[in-house]
Amino acid sequence: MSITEALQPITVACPDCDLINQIPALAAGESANCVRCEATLSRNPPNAINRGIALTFTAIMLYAITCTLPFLSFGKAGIVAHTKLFSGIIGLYEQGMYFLAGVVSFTTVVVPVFMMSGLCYLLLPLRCDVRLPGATRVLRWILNLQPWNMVEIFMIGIIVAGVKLQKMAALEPGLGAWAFMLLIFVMAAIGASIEPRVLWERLESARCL
Amino acid sequence: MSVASPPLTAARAQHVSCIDCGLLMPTASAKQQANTCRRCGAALHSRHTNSLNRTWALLISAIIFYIPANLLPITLTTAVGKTEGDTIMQGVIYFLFSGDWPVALVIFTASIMVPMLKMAALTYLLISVQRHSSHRPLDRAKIYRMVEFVGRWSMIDVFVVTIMVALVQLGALASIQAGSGAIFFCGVVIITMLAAASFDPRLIWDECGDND
Repeated sequence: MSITEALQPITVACPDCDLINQIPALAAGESANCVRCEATLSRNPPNAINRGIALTFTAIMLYAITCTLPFLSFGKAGIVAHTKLFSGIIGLYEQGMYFLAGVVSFTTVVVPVFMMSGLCYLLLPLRCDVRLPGATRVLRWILNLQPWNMVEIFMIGIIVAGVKLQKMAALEPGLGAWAFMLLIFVMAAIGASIEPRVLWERLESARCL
Repeated sequence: MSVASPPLTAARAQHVSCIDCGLLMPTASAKQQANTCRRCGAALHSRHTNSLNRTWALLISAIIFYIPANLLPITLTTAVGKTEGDTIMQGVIYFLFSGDWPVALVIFTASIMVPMLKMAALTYLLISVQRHSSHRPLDRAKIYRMVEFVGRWSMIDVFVVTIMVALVQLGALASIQAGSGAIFFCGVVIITMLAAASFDPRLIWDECGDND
């Protein structure tokens, strides 16, 4: 069903320079670049759909852990503050920083959650060559929102804030923070194992439901 | 010396390729479908609509926003009744002199170097395209890819502020609030990301091959 297949030869225009390129058949693991501007035109990651499903489920579980378990604790003179992932957003909101609260929740909650649920909606049916209503629109949104998924940048922010605050008081990462750390790598692996062209071609040949 | 024929682009071959799914189709058949992609439904354009004007508008707004972003405090720290504001640069200097130079380097790179280089690079790309330059297109394409790739990382400082606001709420002992500089800085990052997205890298190559 979902054995890795070679991608057929295809003619495309390079998205970066518009040059017409003839891409030969790509075996699993191969990729093709534009002959003029060197942009990546197409990849054929092995077993894309199955790996995508496995990694998406892993990401959903890690994100659930991140949201529910304590993230960081910070204390001084007996007063300890425990925070969860959302505490920062709520803190900004309470201070009247609605714009910042909106941006942070969009880039670390709304977009990642949409991407994970959207990938489930696409990949699970695609595994049986079925597409659900609105699948093309979901895929377009996923691809266009990709730069706005900023969980890995948030992680670096946590580290910097940690160094900044350790002089003030003891800072302890909770289980939520470790789950979040793993989530970064899983998200990166999702990006590497999924190729838009594979998904578009599978969607095109899939049965409508 | 033989005269090379101009490189065959989709535009020259009367084709248009979908920006979202990559499907290549003849311009004539695209017109029949009201210029929407038959595979994914995205609007079809040979080049981004009004790319240069939009990018200029966003870039100039970002440059204007960048001034208050650096002059206004991004955090307000209250400790033992005294409130102090810190700008981005004051944060970098604080880390540098307290011995945390790796952190100083991260913040300096993400909050000062990257936004400035990004705005300079976009300005250069816009001017070179407007002057119909055919100078080193591959290098300019690489500059563009770098700008697109690295831009989001400037958000680090906004997230640092968020986390500190969440953590440092120890009542009378100490508290940290987000300053108005953080809003402007966040604006700069978002606007420059939108500017990079509205610039069409194919314009760099459109002038190449016509005159040689």
